[in-house]
Amino acid sequence: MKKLAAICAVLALVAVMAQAQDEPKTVSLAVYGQNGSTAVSEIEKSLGVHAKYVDVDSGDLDMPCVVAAKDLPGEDAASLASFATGFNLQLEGDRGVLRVGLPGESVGGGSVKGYDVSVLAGMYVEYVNNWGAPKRAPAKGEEPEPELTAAEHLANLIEDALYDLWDEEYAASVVGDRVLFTLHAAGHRRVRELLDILLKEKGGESTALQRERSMMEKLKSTKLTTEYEATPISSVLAGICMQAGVGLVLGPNAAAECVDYHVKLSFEDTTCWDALQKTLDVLREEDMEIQTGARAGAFALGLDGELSGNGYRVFPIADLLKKLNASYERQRTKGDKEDGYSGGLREEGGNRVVVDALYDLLEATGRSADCFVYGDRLLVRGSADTIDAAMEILEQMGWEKPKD
Amino acid sequence: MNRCVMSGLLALLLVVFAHAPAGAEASKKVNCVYPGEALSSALTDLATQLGYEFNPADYEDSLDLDESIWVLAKDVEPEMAARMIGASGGIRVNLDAHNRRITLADPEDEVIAAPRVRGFDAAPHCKQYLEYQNKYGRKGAAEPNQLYQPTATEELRDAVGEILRLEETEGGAGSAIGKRLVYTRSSIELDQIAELLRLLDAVGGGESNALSVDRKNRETLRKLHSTFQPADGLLSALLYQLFKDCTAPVYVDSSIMSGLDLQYDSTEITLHEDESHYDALQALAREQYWTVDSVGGALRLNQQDYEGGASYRVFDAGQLLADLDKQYAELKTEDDVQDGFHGDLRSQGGIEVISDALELQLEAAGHSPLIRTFGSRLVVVGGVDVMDSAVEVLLAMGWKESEGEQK
Repeated sequence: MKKLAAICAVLALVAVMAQAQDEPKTVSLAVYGQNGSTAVSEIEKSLGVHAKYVDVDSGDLDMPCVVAAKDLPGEDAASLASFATGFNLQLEGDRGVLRVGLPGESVGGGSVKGYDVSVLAGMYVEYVNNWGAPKRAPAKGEEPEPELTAAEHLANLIEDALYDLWDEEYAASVVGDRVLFTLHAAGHRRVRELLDILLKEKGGESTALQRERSMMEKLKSTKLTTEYEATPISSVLAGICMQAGVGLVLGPNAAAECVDYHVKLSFEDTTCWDALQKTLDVLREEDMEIQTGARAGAFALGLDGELSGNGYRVFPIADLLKKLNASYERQRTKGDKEDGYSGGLREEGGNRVVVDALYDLLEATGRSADCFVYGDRLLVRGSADTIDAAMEILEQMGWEKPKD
Repeated sequence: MNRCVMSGLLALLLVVFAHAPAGAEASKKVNCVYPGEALSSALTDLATQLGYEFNPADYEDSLDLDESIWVLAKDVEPEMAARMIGASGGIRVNLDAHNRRITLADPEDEVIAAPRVRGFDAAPHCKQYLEYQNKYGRKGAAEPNQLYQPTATEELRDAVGEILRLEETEGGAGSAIGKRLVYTRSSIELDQIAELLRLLDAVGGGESNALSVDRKNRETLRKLHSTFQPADGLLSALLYQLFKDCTAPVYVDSSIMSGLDLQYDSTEITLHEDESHYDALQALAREQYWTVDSVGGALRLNQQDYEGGASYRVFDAGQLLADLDKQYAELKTEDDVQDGFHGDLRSQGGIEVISDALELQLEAAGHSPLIRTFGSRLVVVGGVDVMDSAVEVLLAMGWKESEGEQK
């Protein structure tokens, strides 16, 4: 009996150890003003990978860096360290390599994938046949613009929608109805996600946007009471974020300003979100052009345009286009009357009617968003706040949220 | 009778002994362990191994002999050793078997070996090219100022010249006469031209012999693993560790050696047991802006892309073109709509659709490929790593490795 118990205990221990080994490794980053190599070294140590520098060397990462987050999956850690250092970090976990190179440039090691976009291309062709604006004859002396296939239009959309200043470049090649990219695993996941959301009848939000919403929820639902005396503002921001269980990352410009900027602040039963806004107001008062958002689920702060929202939502606008077409038809007048109207949705520009109005109205509220259309799909890229504002505007145009 | 048998045996033995020294000479192999050795020392050592005399003649007082070379090779033919030493030292090393001596010459000097003339039948290539042009070639009149409008044979001559980089060596680009190509070149170069023409005509294409050798050479490096961190990150220490157990001959070309300081130049690359030496070599090549290929059977670390190499693969894109033709037909929209498409594979550029995409994706993967098309054939020039990436990209486009592929 004792033997049996001992065997069971050993087996249980083995099972626990095996489970522990299977658990993916995580990274905790706590870099407050040290140079970028500190973050890279921490990732190397935690994940058991080694850094390969491509067209740069470790000495180039000598700028102060602020990134604080706990228990991050490897790719999230690489993404935060990319933004914090201003370099392009790509993790190849299966090869045990962390590639460090220049942003927007190839660091090698990516793999090529050809995405079959025949269904989306077919949808686009259908849209153009239904609602496409009439072909415009080039003005005298003007060269006609080269035609693009549906797949080429889609490739342009993917490149624009997934562009990230600190990531690798999304350079598409279009061959028939396939779109090819050479990227690392994280990049390919983003392409796949975008194609899947575009294909969905109801559209939807990207993972990055969902994570931003979740981060904001945590910050808004956590209270904070504390005092900071002559503390670097980057440490104040980190303290607030940590209280809500949220990571913090500063872009290189923001870090350079914040690590030596000491403040005295106190918070009394305030939400972490409000505490952050109060702290950021200190920077705004210094006329700093700050941007806030999310990266890999962490609160991100950028300065001088180094941060742009990388979440997006795809809105299906086929029904809206039908409604608009009907409304333009209703506005048609008889014959060739002065002040009459004989056009339709096609003549008005098809989906441009929606996207142009949306862009202007968002700008009027002081928000900057990237708005793209692909046939009867509208993609808005920006912060959660911007995308919510876009949804309100679309509803005012007559768009209806698809029923769950 | 017995006397006859004995005489016969004696005669046989005499013949064997008489030829024994020459046979031993011909099969004699040498070792080249010159990782950073001075050129003069390496040549003296080679001469000793061969029982030759090293005669530097005009180079006696030349500083070139003091320059370092980097060659590691075991049991190789003397000619190969001479080629590697010469390539690493930026000099031509001649083995004069008749006078049993080693002499030197300027690599730019004309090679003493007499060139030969050879004609090649280009009719099957022209047929394939015309079929492609008639199906997928751009329509419409040529550009008004386009003076050069080559025939299929001339286009083939140009393609051969670019792929084998014939313009870099003596002998001209070759002559296109009707459906024949004529070249006056060394027999080695003529064999390379013949090989390329054979692969361009083969069903499914195929890879050159130099590429197959390159694949084998790299395979030996893939089998090597070690953990090594060079003291002070010294590049020369890493290079030796990388190749000391490699069974393939290796040399560092003079284009690198002329700018390399073996005592001070450093690297950030280290070796890890979980990665092969081949992975580390690729990382090193990337870090130092070197290229790796195989020339004359030896692995070469080089500064200039593919110079002097004949490593390439011919891909048959005929079926992929047919598939793409259908896809572009499906992407057509109705007439007279903005943002519509009314073209086809022809208007998109025919095979350029494939070669442009291949070039861009290979560049994204960190390669600088040389790609040349001829009709429905696509030739990628480079080492194994470039070729493996090219295959991946082509597969992602929908290309399928055909059964006739000569690999």
